[in-house]
Amino acid sequence: MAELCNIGAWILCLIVGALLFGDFIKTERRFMEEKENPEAAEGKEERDGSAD
Amino acid sequence: MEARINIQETETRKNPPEASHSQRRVLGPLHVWALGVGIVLVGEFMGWNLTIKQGGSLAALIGLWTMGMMYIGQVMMVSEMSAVMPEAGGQYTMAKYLLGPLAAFNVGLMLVFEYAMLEAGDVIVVGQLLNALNPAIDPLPFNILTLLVLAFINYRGAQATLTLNFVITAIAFACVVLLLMSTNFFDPNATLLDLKALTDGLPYGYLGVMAGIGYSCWFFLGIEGTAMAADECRSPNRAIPLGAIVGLATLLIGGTITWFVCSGLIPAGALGESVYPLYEAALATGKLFVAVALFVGSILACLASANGCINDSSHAWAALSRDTLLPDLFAKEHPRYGSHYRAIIFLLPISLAFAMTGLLDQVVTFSIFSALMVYLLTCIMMLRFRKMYPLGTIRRGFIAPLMPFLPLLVAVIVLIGLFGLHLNYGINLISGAVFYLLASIWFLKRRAKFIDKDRFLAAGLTKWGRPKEL
Repeated sequence: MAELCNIGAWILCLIVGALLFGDFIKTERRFMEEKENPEAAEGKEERDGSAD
Repeated sequence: MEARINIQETETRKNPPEASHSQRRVLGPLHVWALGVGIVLVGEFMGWNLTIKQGGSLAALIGLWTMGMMYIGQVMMVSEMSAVMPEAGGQYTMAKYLLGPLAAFNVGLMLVFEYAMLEAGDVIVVGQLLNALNPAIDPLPFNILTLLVLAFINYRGAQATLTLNFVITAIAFACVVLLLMSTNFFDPNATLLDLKALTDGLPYGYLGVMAGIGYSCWFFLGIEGTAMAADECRSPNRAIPLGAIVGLATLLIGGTITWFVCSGLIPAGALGESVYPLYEAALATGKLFVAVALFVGSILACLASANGCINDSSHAWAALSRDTLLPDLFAKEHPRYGSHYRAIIFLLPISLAFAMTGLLDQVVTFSIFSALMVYLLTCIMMLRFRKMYPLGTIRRGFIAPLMPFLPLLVAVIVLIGLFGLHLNYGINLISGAVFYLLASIWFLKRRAKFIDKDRFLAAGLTKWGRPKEL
């Protein structure tokens, strides 16, 4: 039972870590794109609905 | 250069300053109370009992009320100064305008480490509590999971974080009251408490009292973090002092109940050594539902505390970065959630590294040392503030009483606390001081040259004019 809890906790770590760092990498890439090409990045933002 | 200007223009068009600011002003006094008490309440579930180990049962009680006085003084001084500050940020902003860049850098860094270490302590206790349930449970994945989940919640913005904290804190406080009621303390014939037999008075005399005072900080440590949320409050002048004062009252009552119940249920020797004293007190009542409630309460208190700590430490780190005291990359906000997402991600492995050591008393000591240094600097700032801007020269929302005795009294209590702390953890205090000294040298060598002093103080000078003395 305890073994199962430990494995479950490690799996949850992977899932939450992927969500957290996935969004972080996505956001950083977006800022980099914005820096290189501001016009295109703005258009993409409007399509995403995340301009606000 | 032109591309950079274009980016700034694009950003300004997309996010006009007023609009983005008003979107973030979502917090009220209840959120401020939850942020303050949520961070600190965990001190009643773990750590406070080190006061008993250091100075005995009575020293813990004396320390609790002496430190309570110190914090009331702190709140009064901070209320006077923060109400006139041109921007949010608590003691960091005060240091920026009243003491200059080097002091601001140190205060900011001390606040970051006060919260990051407290967060590490919380996570250690979560792991140890689960391990106490079943020794085969490995605390490590649960430590990492706790930090990742809370970092993720903070990453998604302050309102979600603090609404969650309000619920968790309310449940955790209710658990303390439930424990008190379950002891039948109100009925002399049926009470489970036996203070006379289980407490040990003052076994180490006045030196023990001093040591107890130093560690009693743990009952309140972090309450000053409420000032960090001013940027996100709908009405900061009302919400911050109200939330902080009600929070302090809650903690004084909670701390006294905690001392009373634990000292009446657990022998002083065992209580001083306990990792989770309230849970052990609940076990000592012999009532299963109380034990379950306090187990859940302890976990929730740790989660609420770590949650608030991530919020406060990332705010402080981002404030340092925004003012160019650190590289400016950490000041960036998340485009959708508005959180200081880079600061959250950067501080995560630091807290995790300290949590993985499992050394609760070391982590607690570094956190307390950092906090006491900030409190000492707050006293200096208050004296300087009254000298630079005497009463009547600028409009104040609140005037602290008993000047100049108030900062002197607070400073004396803080110095007693530091002296008491050094009795058993002298090497830790020296290490902490060396760390801040090295950080200051790095700052003077590598960062000070990037600071435009006129721009750095512009908001304050515009608001108050040139001070009587600089």
